[in-house]
Amino acid sequence: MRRAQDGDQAAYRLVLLATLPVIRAFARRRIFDEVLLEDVVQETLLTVHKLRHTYDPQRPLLPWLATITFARAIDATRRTVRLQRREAADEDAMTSAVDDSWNEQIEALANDNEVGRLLSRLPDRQRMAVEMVKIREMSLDEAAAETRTSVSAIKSLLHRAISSLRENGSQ
Amino acid sequence: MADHEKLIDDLCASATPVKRVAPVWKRLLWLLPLMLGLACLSVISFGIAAGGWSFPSGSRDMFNAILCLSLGAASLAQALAIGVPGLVWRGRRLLLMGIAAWLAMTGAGLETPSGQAIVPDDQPFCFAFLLAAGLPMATTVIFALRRTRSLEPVRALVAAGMGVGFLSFGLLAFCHPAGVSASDFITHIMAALVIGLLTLAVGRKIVSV
Repeated sequence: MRRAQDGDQAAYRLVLLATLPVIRAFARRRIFDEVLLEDVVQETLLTVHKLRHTYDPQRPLLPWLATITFARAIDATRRTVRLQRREAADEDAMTSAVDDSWNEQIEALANDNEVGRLLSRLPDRQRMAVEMVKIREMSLDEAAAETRTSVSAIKSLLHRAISSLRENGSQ
Repeated sequence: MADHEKLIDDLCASATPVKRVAPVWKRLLWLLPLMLGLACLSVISFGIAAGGWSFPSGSRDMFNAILCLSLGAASLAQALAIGVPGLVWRGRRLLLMGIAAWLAMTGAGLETPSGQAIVPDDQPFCFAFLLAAGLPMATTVIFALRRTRSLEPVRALVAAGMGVGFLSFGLLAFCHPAGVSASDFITHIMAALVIGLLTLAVGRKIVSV
């Protein structure tokens, strides 16, 4: 470590690699989540780098390393707890902010999908008659004029379509 | 598992020689005279020591000045030690005993002021003196703590603020008798609190790692 402080990069690499399992072991005493543990190891390495000038070569390395690791572990735990608290608060806010009309909209969407599925099973002319009269709310005369058929033909198409829809819908 | 070896390679590539931090006692040796000198200059330049400086005459005044300066130095030593990871400062119990002795002595002085007359309405003078002396010392100690930074910035700054407060009391003892009235004592404590809180507020980001 003394050589590392003097700028010997190879010695520094050796020190950091040798202390990696030690840092992990120290961190494991405070952190039980494996992902968070690796974050703490990484933050400890960064802090060791920042504070390497505070190490006194006449003193043992482990207490210095343990203090840094424990401090980073405590910081990480505090940060996690704070984050969890904030997330819980947001969930509460989200629950209270839910608009009930959403349920109706979702139900309507589901109904639309169901209607679309049933209509797709009808022959083209029957489906067109249902869409014009029941969905677009056109009158029988308007539907007959648009399809260039008679009103009675439209009525007949509608009658057959509704019968088919009932059969398909009950399945 | 995170790729720590890649990080280690990056850290090693940016590793330049660093200057090791001196032991706490050596740092105190230059820090204390610097802080006290700046505090005296500040008080003189603001013209606050209107009553003039005088060496503490009575034994209690003398003891008060020495005790305050010692407690200030001990608190600063603790603040500097907190900045060095793994360094255990063993003077905490002594520091607490010293603070208890100072409180006992000041408490006794509230009833029986020493021979020197207390100037009436001198609270504004005391407050201004303590702030004028304390603020340059607080600035200096924040920069001294920045040299090591601290994993526990709040603890280090509280100790530093206490040290600055006691050093200011020590300097005040050269312009002010140890015996104080209750309101005077409260003024002193309020000024020390202001110094401590300012030290904490200003230094927290500067000192933290």
